[in-house]
Amino acid sequence: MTDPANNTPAIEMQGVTKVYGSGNTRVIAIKDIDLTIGKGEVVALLGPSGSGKSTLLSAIGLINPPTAGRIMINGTPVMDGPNEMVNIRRYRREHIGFIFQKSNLIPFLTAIENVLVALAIAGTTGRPAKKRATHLLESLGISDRANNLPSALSGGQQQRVAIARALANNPSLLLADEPTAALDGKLGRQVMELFRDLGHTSGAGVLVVTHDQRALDVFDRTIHLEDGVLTNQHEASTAH
Amino acid sequence: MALILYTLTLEKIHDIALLKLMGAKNSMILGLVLQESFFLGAIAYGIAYFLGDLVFPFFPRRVIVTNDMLIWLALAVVALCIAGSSLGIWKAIRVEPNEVLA
Ligand SMILES: Nc1ncnc2c1ncn2[C@@H]1O[C@H](COP(=O)(O)OP(=O)(O)OP(=O)(O)O)[C@@H](O)[C@H]1O
Ligand SMILES: [Mg+2]
Repeated sequence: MTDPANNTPAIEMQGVTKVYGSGNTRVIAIKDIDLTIGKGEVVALLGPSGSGKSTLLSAIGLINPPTAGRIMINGTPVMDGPNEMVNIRRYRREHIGFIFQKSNLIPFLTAIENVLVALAIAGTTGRPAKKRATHLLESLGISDRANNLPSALSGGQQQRVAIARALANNPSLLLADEPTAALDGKLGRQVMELFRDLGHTSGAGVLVVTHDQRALDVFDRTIHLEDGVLTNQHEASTAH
Repeated sequence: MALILYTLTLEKIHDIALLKLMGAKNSMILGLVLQESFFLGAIAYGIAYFLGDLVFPFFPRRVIVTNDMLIWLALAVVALCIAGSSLGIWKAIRVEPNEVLA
């Protein structure tokens, strides 16, 4: 038999629904989502504005509990409806890397310090942390800017620091919400390729929300949300 | 003083939400807020000390500053720092990580 751990998906969602508000202001942001993303699989999430992409991502990222449904990460049930099945703060720092449209760097810390913060949160400090942070910045080609404040970096450089920070603790899950929206086409594509290589070499599941049609060929798979429902899964079963 | 600390914390609410999003423990965030508070407290204490040295000679009656008094003052500053940051801490602990997304 093969190692069962290798077949465990990075993410598994079953019937995940998120409802915001109540009464007249009730919004069903995502509805009955079933989704599986394998280890090392690099997936793009597409859909019109308001279709629920960010809601889906933040549910998986354990920052926005679903109203109903189950979420499993690496085979571990983490959310059952709005109930936390694990210490989610700990789960986030040990398993999940986030990247957003804005780089969200801490403005009064240098590039390397921003990466060191992520390491410190997970308990890595001192020389090993310094070494790891330097290595990460090197692998993203920005080690020469390590001691600059974010304000002294270009948009693309800031985003690469944010990626280095997201990767600091070797996450098994990388979640990115429109990470290239502020970058030009060429740089955006480079960032997407970086995600793909990361997924393929580290075995992390990667889910990227994007509007950029030009870089879609980089991904292993694309999925589409519309009005809170995954549509391409229907397409696959309904012949036109 | 409390207001300054509170404002400082508010200013960093986005960063604190970010730390939580990255999975930071409340104890770490608490430590950061208190650290800032003590840093300001230490500066205030230093300023007060030197200001006292400058001003006291002009007082009509001699002001005697004993070491004991200095220690008590330091303790008072520490207590004030903790009290002053409590509002900020309360706010910081309550921040939801998804405020980063806002
Ligand atoms: N905190 C909230 N309270 C109430 N409704 C919300 C909240 N967040 C999102 N919604 C609603 O849920 C729906 C999905 O929002 P979501 O942000 O997930 O969409 P999105 O696909 O990420 O859109 P965009 O491409 O514009 O970022 C929208 O109708 C939105 O108005
Ligand atoms: Mg969104």
